[in-house]
Amino acid sequence: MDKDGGALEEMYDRYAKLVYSFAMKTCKDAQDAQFAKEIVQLVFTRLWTTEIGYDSRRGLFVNWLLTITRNISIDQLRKQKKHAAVVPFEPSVWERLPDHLQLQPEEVVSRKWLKQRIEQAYRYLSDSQTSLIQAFYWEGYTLSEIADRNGEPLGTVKSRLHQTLKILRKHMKSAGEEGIE
Amino acid sequence: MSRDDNVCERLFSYFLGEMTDEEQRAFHAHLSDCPACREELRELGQVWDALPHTMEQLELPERLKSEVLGPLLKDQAQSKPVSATKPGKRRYRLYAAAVILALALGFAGMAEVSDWRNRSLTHSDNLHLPAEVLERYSLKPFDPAVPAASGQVWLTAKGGSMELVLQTSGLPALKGEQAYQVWLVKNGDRLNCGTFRVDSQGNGVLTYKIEEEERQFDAIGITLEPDSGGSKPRGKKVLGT
Repeated sequence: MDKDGGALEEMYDRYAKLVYSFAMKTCKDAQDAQFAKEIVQLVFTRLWTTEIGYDSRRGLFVNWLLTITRNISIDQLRKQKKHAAVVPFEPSVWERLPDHLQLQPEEVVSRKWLKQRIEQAYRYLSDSQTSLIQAFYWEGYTLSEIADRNGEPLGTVKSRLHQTLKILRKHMKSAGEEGIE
Repeated sequence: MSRDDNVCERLFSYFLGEMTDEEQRAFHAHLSDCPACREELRELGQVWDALPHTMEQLELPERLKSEVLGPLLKDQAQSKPVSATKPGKRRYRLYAAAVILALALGFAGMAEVSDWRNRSLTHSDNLHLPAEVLERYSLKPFDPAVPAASGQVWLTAKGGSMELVLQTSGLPALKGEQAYQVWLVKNGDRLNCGTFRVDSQGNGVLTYKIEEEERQFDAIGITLEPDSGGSKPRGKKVLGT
């Protein structure tokens, strides 16, 4: 990334709130403002110092930024909770795909539309499905850890996660996509 | 080759990043040949990217900006102290001014535009920034029972943000809990932009802070609602683009 201080500042103005709010949600019980501030520091330091930048063919910048934010947040969370093994930084599925398999990027949809749609879709989830998203996506537990905690086979938990994402996707298709009005 | 039957089922493992490098390579080969898997991967990715949006957006602590950016920028040769004057915002305003000039060449009668050259570009306090008009829409009546309704919507830019400013006249007086509600329509979805009430002349005003991505709407609509608590339209449409 170009060492353009003005650009970094614009990025802060545009995205810092998202990063901060995301980090706060990962420690929801503690609502730890100090933790969230550290995450903002780490994310923007990473943006500033790394040579590995954002590739627009991989999708929207905001999604890339939130992936980084999540990885850093979970990394920190796990360090703080002193989990047995710290989960290493996982590249997102998009970064693993070879160039010739570029998938169609999604259209730009405003955050408010997306928020409205996903909140509506969430209502179709069962309690065990929402707790699974909470534990896996937001709190950074691995599927194995969740399976152990629940006393369930790993395969069951994996299927539940797959099913949860499919239900959300089904209910997030916009009215336009389904041919309504 | 019975193994082929199992390959598609491994998609979720791939998605979760559980595969070894070799398994990934094999799966990539499968993806080249399997549009169904590519589509499901794309959809899983979309949901995954949407998950963060259930979060509540919180206000940033005040000194965080200088705490975060200060150490990063201090080694820059031409660095200035990170100040409250937000030099980055000036860049946005220059861009907005350029957009307005481009629009002015095509749009006659946008009275606000002729002033932009005279506006000082050194102001940086948000409160003193004039609003620049980027686009304008007329609202037409949609309900035969309310033929005299009319209105205008302006898309304005002020500092680093944009607003829709809406003004109506000729709308009937409201009874009880009723309210007029404004919707942005895109692909059949309706985004709630808020509610307003009218004076005895049927004049109403509403402003809505709008994000860059929301500008790509198909239409604006105003409905007469039984109360201001709805998240989907319940009443009749009275005005729209």
